[in-house]
Amino acid sequence: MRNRYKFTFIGFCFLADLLAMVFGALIFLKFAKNGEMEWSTLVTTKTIRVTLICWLFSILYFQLYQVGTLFSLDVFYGKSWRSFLLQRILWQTYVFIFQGGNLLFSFGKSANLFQLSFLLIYFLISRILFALILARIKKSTLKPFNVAIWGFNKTSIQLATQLETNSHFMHFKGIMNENSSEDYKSKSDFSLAITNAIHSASKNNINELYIVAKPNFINDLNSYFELGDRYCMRLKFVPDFSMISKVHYSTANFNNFHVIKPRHEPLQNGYNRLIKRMFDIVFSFFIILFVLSWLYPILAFLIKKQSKGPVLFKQLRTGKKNEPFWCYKFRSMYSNMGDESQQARKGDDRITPIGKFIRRTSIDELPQFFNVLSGSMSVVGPRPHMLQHTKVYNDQINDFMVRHFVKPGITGLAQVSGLRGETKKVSDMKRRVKADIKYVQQWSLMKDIKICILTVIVAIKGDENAF
Amino acid sequence: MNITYFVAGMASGLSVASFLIGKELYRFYIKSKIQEKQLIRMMKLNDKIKKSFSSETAEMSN
Repeated sequence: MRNRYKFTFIGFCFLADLLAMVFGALIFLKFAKNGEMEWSTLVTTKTIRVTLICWLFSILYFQLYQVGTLFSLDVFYGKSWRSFLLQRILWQTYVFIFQGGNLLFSFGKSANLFQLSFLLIYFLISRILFALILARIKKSTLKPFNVAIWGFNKTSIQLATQLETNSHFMHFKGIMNENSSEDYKSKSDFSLAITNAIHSASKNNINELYIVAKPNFINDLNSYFELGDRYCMRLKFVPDFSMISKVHYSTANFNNFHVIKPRHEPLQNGYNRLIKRMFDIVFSFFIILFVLSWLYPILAFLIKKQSKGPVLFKQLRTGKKNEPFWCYKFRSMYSNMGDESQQARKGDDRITPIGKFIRRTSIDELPQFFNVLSGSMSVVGPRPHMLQHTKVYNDQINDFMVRHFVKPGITGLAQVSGLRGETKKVSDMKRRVKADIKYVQQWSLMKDIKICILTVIVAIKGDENAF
Repeated sequence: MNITYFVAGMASGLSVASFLIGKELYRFYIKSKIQEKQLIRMMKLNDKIKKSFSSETAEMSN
């Protein structure tokens, strides 16, 4: 039953959104024809088609209407917003290109404005309606899909929270033995308790039962599965590792082998790595072509004029997999002014006048786009440190090397979160490493783009830690 | 300035703001409701562990 309701609801959402897109395109056409300025026929004749293609691409990219996973309204809202935003970006780009690069047509005309207003109002009202429909479906379902948990421990409480949060198309009955004070002393006691729980679950019309227990308590898992099959009940076993692992870990399947990892890493997926590399190449190529092509000679002239030495400063830094690489920067300090491995401090007299400016605005990092193009660095990632610093901090911070699971970056999550500059105490570095690990665990292309935009904002605003 | 443009612009802004604020409020409401249940369960588990520990120490002393 849950699938029938789920498919109907998601199908309804898909059709409603599609119709809204068509209606939005019709509003655009109506005002485009009545408008005071002439629109290109390429835009007006293909409006509906292009609107729908942009929308379909967006929903496919963000996987808005997923039927295979546990439905979460919160995730659905987030994805709706992102899909809508991407659809508008694609549509405005199309109008901009085919209207001869005229920005007035892209944003400022009534046709676009009324279409945008309609779609925004539709998105607000439709999402409120969808939430109300979901609540109504849950109340009026005659034969709900009942899910329960047996086993009372930290893992089962966390699982119950997950199921309760997303129980739109099923009825979560709770943890069956949460009020029981029974303590199982032997494996046979435990086995008897599970068998009784399966019997009782079957009597209470449970369709899916999660058994959450420590693996060492289980003698023969197959016998429980067989018992569940006999009652036409889906039995699922969730191992409870809460007593041996205090932190969250990630599990996966590798050819039917259960693999437990300390953390989830999206960049272990080859497809994600390819996307990141393509983004790096396009972005760095663009910066080298349009920014460094004119900025490099100007800065080279100023650096050479103010102090003797090379334009670029290169230093061995720790890269991905702890492998050293040459990191390039515009030289911001006088040559032969002592230990190069010492971090720059506020009011450091080794810094040249032009160096002060390029360090404050982070322009000194721009040559690292050559590192990105060559593949030793990425646009976004944990900042690379000097080899001796890596060694020192690795001895003091347990998970320090996790940041080297990915390529180092020109900018990173730590840098846009105000954690850049000199690290006077180990606690400063710990905070930075925490942010770097968060980035490694939560990577997405959108997050990279967001960090790039935030970097520009931070550079314009000026960071007090940049000196 | 045409009043229609003003109304359309305001409606767009209000819709975006309402959508984003509503989304956060919904998330907060669900989180607080679920976290309350989670807290009650955690307290029950804590009591159970305490009881089991005290009965174990009583057995050992006997």
